[in-house]
Amino acid sequence: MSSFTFDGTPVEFRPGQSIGAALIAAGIRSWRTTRIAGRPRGVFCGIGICFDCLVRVDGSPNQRACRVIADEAMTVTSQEGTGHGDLAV
Amino acid sequence: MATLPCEPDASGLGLRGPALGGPALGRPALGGPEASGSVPSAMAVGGVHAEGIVTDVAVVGAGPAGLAAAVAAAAAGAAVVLIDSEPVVGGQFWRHPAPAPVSGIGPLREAEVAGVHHNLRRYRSLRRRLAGHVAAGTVTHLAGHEVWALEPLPTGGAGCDARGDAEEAPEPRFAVYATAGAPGARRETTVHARSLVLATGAYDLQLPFPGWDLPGVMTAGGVQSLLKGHAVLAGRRVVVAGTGPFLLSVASGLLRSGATVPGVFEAARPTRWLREVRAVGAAAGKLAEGLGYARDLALHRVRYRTGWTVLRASGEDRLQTVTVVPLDSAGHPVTAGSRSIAADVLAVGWGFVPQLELPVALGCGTTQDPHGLPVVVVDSEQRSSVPGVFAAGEICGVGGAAMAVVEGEIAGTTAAEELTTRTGADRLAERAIDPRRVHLLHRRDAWRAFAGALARAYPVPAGWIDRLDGDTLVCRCEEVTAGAIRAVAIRDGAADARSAKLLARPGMGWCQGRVCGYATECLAARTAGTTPRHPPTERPIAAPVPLGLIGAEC
Repeated sequence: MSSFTFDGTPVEFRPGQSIGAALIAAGIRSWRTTRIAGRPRGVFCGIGICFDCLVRVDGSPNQRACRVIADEAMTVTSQEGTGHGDLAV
Repeated sequence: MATLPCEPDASGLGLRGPALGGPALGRPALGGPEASGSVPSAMAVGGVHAEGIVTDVAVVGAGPAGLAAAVAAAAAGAAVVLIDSEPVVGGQFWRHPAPAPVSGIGPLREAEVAGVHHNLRRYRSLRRRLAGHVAAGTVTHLAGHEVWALEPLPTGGAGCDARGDAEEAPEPRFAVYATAGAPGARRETTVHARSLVLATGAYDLQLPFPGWDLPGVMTAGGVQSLLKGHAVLAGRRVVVAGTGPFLLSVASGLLRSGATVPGVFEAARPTRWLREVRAVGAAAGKLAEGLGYARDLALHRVRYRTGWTVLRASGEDRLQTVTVVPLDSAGHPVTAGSRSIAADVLAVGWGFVPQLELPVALGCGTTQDPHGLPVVVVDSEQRSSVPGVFAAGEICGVGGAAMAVVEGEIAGTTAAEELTTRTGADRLAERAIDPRRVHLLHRRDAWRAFAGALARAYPVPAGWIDRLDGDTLVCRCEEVTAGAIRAVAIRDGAADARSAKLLARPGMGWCQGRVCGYATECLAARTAGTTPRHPPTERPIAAPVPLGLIGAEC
């Protein structure tokens, strides 16, 4: 199996799977908190429509985990709020 | 195909891409010889890649309709560019795993997901024909390309286009803008096309209910896409609920892949559908498919309950319990009969929403489907109201893959013939008696009748709006509750989704109201005492695009 890192931990995936599919297969249901209520979210629509499954991939926030095909070299991190907390003043 | 040289635009602003609410600025001028069969060239400009292609027919979407359209248009002699957001053709219905990006261990194989598919023979045949056209250079397949905008090109200003028969070739009428690539390294491709076939499909229609934002609650289509595209089970115990025959397909796929399905809860009582057998004659294959699902459910002793609906989903930070309830003949829940079921996933869907951003952006005329949702109006040969723009499949009214294939073939053939052959009276008369065309038109009409019967058999269940308590989220992105929408409907007279959005923000977030738009329109109208109208929503940016691409200096 190949793996990428998710919040520092290796997550195995089969080449061809999306990040979201690999996370679900690993038993991980949510990887984002909402901006207002801080509620957990994961895959909802699974086809790129709903933007619930947003995640940070190699430093780029707001990537749809259901659409990004996983790769060995990827660093995936969960996302809080807008994903641009680093820009806050 | 010709490459689009990336030239400094006349405005001096360095803007490229479509004009959003104003005249187009700095559109790349077409030029250069059309090198048939060449791959589009890429130019790195300040780190941003720009590609350009000129073609006869651009097909947007490679699901059943788009796939059939591309193959048919190429067979009729047109140069075709097939643009699709997915890595592999097939759309949602025939979704297949992406080719492995690295030579890792245990890559997904297509054979693994064959068991959850239907009519793969047709898919493989279309895909084989597509591959033949790609090899011959008549089709360019842009996989993994999301179309974020398209627009008409001004006539007479598109520059020279040196085909083999340069004098004969009409100028491109449309520009299609797509992005592709890894996160952080997106690049843009522009396709200039003489005609367009839009086949952008549909996604699950959703209704809000308490707990629908809990991780583990997923759309039925999403659960299916994990199975077909990734060979992943969304959960171990999956409750399936909502309305429509698609629920059976999802339950069957889950069972075949080893999940436990504690129940399938269908809100409608579709037995009355059988009264419309007249329309069913066209759809023997569909009936066989339905019987197959019934067999799977029986084999696994799964109860298929009609006249039941989801009351709520519960759990702390993830779904743990689904509460379902029977409905009385008036559609009211009989709460005394409710049942709570332990589950890690709820797969839910209430039909489908045709995805209309692109036809709406071009001004294609629309009408309402049986749910009241907008669909593209087409004539008998899939022409939209905009000359040169064809539409096929679910965006013309949800009807399933078999119908989409037929519509795609009609659209692709007609689009190509209008460009490549004379359309004088003789040719029109010839077409009118062409046996293949007559057969296709007949099939399409029969499928449409069948789709109408299905839509009437599986309506969005009445009463959901009144059951919605004030704390339930309607807009998942902006976290707007039903109470907040009702408040602006009462206080400010916001009687539709657009007014409610301006006052309370439902539909203002990442998904641009794709998920909550239907519910918000229904809820606002109901509260204000009016009828929901569901006008087509304009989303000038149809897919996420990095600002750097819109504003990139050439």
